[in-house]
Amino acid sequence: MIRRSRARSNTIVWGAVIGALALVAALALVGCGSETAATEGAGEAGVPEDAGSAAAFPITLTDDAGREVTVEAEPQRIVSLAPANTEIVAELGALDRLVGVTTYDDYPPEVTELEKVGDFITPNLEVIASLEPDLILATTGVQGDVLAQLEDLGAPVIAIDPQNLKQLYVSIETVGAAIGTPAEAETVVADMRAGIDFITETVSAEPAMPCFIEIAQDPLFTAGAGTLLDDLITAAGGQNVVAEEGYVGYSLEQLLQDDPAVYLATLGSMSDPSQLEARAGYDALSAVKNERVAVLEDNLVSRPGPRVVQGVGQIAVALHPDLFDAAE
Amino acid sequence: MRPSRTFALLALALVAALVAGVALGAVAVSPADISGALGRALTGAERSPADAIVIDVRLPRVLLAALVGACLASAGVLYQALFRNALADPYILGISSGAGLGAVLVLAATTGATAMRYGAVPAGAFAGAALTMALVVRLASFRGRLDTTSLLLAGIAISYTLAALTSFVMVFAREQMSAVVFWMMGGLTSASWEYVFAIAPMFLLGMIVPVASTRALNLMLLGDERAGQLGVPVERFKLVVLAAGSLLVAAAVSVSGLIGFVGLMTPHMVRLVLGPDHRTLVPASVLAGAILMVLADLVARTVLAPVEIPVGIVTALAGGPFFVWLLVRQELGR
Repeated sequence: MIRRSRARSNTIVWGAVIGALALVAALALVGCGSETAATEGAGEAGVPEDAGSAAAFPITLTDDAGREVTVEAEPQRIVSLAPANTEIVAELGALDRLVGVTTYDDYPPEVTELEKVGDFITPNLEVIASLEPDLILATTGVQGDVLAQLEDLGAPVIAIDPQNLKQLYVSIETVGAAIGTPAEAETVVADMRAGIDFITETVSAEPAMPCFIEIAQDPLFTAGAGTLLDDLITAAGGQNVVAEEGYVGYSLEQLLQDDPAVYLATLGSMSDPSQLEARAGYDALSAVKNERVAVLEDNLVSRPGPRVVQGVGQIAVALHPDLFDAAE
Repeated sequence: MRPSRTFALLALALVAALVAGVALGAVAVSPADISGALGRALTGAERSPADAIVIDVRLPRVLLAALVGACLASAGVLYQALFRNALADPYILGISSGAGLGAVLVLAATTGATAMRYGAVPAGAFAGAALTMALVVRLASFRGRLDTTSLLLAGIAISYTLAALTSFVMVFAREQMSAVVFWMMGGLTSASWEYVFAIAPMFLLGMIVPVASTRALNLMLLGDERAGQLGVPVERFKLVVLAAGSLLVAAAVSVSGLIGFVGLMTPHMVRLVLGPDHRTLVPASVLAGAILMVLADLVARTVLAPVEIPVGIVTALAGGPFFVWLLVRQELGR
């Protein structure tokens, strides 16, 4: 009986998610339309309205690793070393110029057919070299050490690693400038802003909801202040109970003390919210008692790309289900 | 120091450590609330919301720490006697690699389906440890005799092979890498009453051998031949000691991953104070291991609270210098 009622409430939540996603998708479509037009124009006439940007090469940019990179001409063979970079390039309408991605890449679906250059953690330099890229979109962190080696391959290397929404917008504009699609980048960023503003405005009808996000369960890991997830939660009308900086192992005692109203988890860390009750101490959590546990799709909330808007939508629906029921 | 006084001190220290472990944590809980929570738990009265912190989180964690510490320390005593080697630790025969492979296989096979994973990782680790031990002993006694050198060699060979297999599996389960790495680092963050009740019987069963055969363990220090002449059934005794040691380590590893230092160093610390006689070494190591582990875990969960650090970092950082201090003190005392 309890299970059934949970299943039903899940259906409601998911219905609301789909509702919110449809809204976001509609917003995105508006963006896509204008974007496609721009791309087509560029393809047919060679130098149409984008004349200013097409002539913008060579262009010198500062990437997220603080490096100055010069792109000499519009890149035609792009290698992306992070799924988020791939999603950005695709969103900017340059999917056909991508020649290599990592084994982690799965969106948009077409990219799974591209050449694989190794995984996110260990990109294969030989394979990358064999693709003769004229632009490599890398990231920092685990790839920080190989940036210099990548540079030796001859192509400009741009490291993209935004830590919050604001930086993400800048990153998308950086990629847009680097691949010669600054106008599309502007449109994409404007659409994302509009989507997120819409969600933020909708949830502002209710006070910020105290919540916790689990990214690994054993040991319990969470995303604290200064992380992209924290920023997405804030945009979705949430108040992350974790004030510590960065991705940290979190004390279960402290979690019980914080007693967040909503418990969020990424799909990778947990797929079955009913399993929470079985964990030691969790049955005392209000979020568990009130069945306010939601599982988020990792790729929507952890990849700093255009789809974070959908991620914010998922979080918003989890935090403020009533507002989105009404919207439906 | 006289043994009886040392034992009294150790017992007192353990009680103090347990009390401190329950009284302190990331969240401040007043002594009144703690005793209230304990009282309500014992009488089955309605629980207040804060009770979960004391009853479901701290208490099982502190008890589990004590059990794990005791298991590792007594396994260290057994292996060091068996190999007559001061550097023998509970993981020497590849039991860590075996447990690691078992855990990694479970983690790789249960992506996402964490309801199952929750109980399956300890089971996988235990199975891996037990199978490894059986394989090592079988290999070492291939020529009919179970001699220490071939046991050690077989252990090292198996250990490297299994470690390589573990890394190989990790290549295919990259997304599980962080879970695997954290499991390997060890820790007590997932402590629960289920874990306590799961390893308590294994601890009691495993302790029968060291408690019942302190004399034989002493004789083993004289060498296989002398021990045999003095009435120890050497071959069979080795097997029994191996089985008991493996059970103790597997129990600890299955609930806490690979926690270093405690198994290796605790018996040495006790020996420096009480001498090598197993009649005092065994019980004192059990107590000391439990104390060390409870205190190390207390530090791990409070020093950066509410952020937790892996307990292995604490055991090694605090234990290493303490061991040096013991050594130096002994040298100066001469």
